[in-house]
Amino acid sequence: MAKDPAPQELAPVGKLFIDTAAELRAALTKAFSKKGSVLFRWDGVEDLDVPLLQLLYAARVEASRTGKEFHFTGIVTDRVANRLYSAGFVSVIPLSGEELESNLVGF
Amino acid sequence: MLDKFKSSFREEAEELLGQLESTLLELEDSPSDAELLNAAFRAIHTIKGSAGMFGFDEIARFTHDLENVLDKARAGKIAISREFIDLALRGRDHIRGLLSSGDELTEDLRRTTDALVEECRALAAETEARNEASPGSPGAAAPEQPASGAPGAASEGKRTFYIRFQPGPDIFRNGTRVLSLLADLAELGEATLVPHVHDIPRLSEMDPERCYCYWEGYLTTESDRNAIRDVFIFVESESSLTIEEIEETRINDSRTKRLGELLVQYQHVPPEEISKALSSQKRLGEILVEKGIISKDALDTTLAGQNHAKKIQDKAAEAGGALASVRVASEKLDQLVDLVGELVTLQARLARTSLDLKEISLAAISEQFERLIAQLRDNTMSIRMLPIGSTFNKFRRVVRDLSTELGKEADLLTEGADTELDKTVIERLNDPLVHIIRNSLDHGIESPQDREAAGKNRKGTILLKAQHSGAHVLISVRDDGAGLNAEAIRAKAVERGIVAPGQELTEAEINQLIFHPGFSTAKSVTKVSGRGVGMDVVKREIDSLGGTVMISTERGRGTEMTLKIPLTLAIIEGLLVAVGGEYYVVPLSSVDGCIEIPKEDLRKVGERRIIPYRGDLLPFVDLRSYFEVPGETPDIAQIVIANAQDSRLGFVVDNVIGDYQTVIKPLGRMYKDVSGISGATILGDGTVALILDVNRLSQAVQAESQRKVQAG
Amino acid sequence: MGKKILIVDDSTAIRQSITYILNQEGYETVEAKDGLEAFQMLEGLGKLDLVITDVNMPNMDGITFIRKTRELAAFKFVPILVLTTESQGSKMNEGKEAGATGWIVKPFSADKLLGVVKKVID
Repeated sequence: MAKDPAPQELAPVGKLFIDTAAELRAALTKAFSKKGSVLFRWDGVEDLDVPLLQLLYAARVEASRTGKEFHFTGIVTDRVANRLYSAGFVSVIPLSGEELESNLVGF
Repeated sequence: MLDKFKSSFREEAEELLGQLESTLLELEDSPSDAELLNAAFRAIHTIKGSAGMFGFDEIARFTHDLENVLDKARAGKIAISREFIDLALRGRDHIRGLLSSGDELTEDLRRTTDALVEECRALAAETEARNEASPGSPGAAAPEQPASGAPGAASEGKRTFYIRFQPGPDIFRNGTRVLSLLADLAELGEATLVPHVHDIPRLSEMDPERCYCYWEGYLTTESDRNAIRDVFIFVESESSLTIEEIEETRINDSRTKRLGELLVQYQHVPPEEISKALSSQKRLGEILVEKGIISKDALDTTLAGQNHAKKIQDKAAEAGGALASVRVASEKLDQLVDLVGELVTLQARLARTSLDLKEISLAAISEQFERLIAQLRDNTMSIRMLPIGSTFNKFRRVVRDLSTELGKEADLLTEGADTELDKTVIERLNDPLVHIIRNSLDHGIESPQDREAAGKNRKGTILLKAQHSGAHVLISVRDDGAGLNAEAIRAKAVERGIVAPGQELTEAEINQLIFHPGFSTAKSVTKVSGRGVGMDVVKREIDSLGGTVMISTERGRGTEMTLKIPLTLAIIEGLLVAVGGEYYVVPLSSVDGCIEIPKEDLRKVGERRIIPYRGDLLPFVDLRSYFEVPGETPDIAQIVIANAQDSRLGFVVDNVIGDYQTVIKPLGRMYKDVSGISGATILGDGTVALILDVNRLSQAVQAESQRKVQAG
Repeated sequence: MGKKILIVDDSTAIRQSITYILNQEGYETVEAKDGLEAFQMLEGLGKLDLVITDVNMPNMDGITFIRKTRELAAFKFVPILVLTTESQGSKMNEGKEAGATGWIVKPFSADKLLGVVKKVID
């Protein structure tokens, strides 16, 4: 049997508002089209808005339909964690991507 | 801060006013030139917008009306007449006058402003009367809603709002950041929001720039409804926004009621569905959502309500932490005790179930739960606790007055005055303690002469001492008097027919005789004690408190009576037994043991109703016939042996279920007249169990046997 | 990192005061005296964090300016605040329809201006 292909890692950097949504969707779609699991790395995310979150939820739905592995990793910045908390997406302030993944409401 | 731009504004305005003059004059010549009119309007508009910012309030005051007139002319609602141009020009001149007047505002200028405002309004009103409604700002469009009466909350200055925010699908496209809005909202107070994300499609089908989410939640804040609206002011027109003030009762409900109750009350779920779902093993909410009885959203929102109420409470508790104490209505305390009691009961059931199921993981949870509940119980009970010392002073007075009366000398010393005990227990201990102390003075402490003769201090000492001992409090009254006279007690008992003349009795048994009804050893019947309502009354009272009395005495040295009292009356340890479908609780403090007896043997015993137990013959009560429970005694019956006040007796039951920590509930009217029952308790599954009054039952048995003896 | 804000108003006094207030707070500012000038500047500005624009201006009014700005890919989603007066409720709606993010009502204090700016881009 072939070795497991390396995971496709997405590590966007900066303030991920609406202006980056289309671009990110394309990147996610591309990652999903390849073999192996998909990792979303939070380290570079300085700020965010709902469009990014929607994309991640959509990717999760996609993953569950296609049986693909899709996970979070990296460190969640304070800014991002606080924004997620105040909008009710998490009920505890997450430190890591892994922690965020397991606490994100309805994810 | 902006004053430094004042001169800049003045220059700019001068320039604009210069242009305005020529524009207006041109306009008079060609009134249909829209561009000229626009230019005039723009000039006034700019001046108006800036004047207020740079401190020219008087200019701002009337340019608003002038602008309005120009705007109406633009809309064709005011004709460009000579009067119109005249008014505009005079307005322009007045602005100029105000600009150059500096900070000094003369009465003349003020009057001119007033006159211009009047004229502008009159001109605008003419058109108004025709059919026009002036444009209103959207921010002011919604009427302010009166706060729906929540006086309690208002008095604390905080109100709770339910908020539902559904952004329009295109909300992101004009640069709005929704997380930013929600953060602003959260900053107004304590917020608990739930995002609803289930409408987000799969990646391949989604429009990444469209909004698929909406939010519901609760906000407790000192701000008002308008402040909340202000958060959403830029997006209100394209979004759907609901802000409803929540009544305090609903918040309290969210905190105290179970999910099922909340769903029935606020989401209109039929109660049958709740009980159906509860009987299943899964979580209530999941089942109801699965069955389509409520939406996931409704469930999430209700849960958020619960979380929110808890958050608020925690916050309040944190804030209140600085206070040394709070006053609480005792009713609330009783309710709390009730609730804790129910928890204790439920825990007992959980423990039993986990034992039955032999599931290790469940047993571990049950044990941990038990520990927590024990802590919760102790904490709760401690709220009701008062230091017993609050009653000690009264006893000091008793000793002082009584010793004078009896011609004796005695001091009352106290120890452990800060020992805490349930308030009700303290109240009920008062009479027995007075009795014991009187008894000590009357029978224990000798006269000063006798004491001196015995080589003692003239002055006797009575020590009243309280101390904790596990779930009990030990209260002892010790005197340094003559001690109990065993021979005298025995003689009196024989004289009174309490014991047979030749009966062998241990010292302890002799001492116990003083608790026998009608016993009195004093040589003379004094005013104080010895009226035949002596120590037996004490014993009965302590028994009813679930406590015990012990005596130790030493001839010539003194006597000590120790009361062992449970910390609280609200919870007792009991033995749960079953007869047919009925449950009874025997207070554990009176249980001596359990034996099995074949039904056959019971029948043989027949009318005599006596069974052998540890070498004794004990009377027994068949609870089935006593309480008229239908059904047949099983082939092997159980007998619970209990210690009553002065005897032992057995209770025949079908089954002994086991130790049971339980909360005593006051009896409802239904049971008020049932003799032999001291209270009731609710079991984990809601069944009522009756608590046996062992002493009353024992008396009933004795009366019965006496009747039989008399009947021959 | 300072945020860059474009201020569009035909009133120099207004532009200067806004600039002053925003600079005090560490924002970087660029000024244009009307919609047309602003629109012509856009391409050369690179990334913008916010645009504050007046509505009534000669050459190109604020509404037209917003509409045209939204058509440019690089500024499709840039937050835009409209400077307006209370009597112009209709302008707020017009501004929103054209693609504005929000509005600032004149006259405004420094606190009010900063409040709205922070609300939108912080």
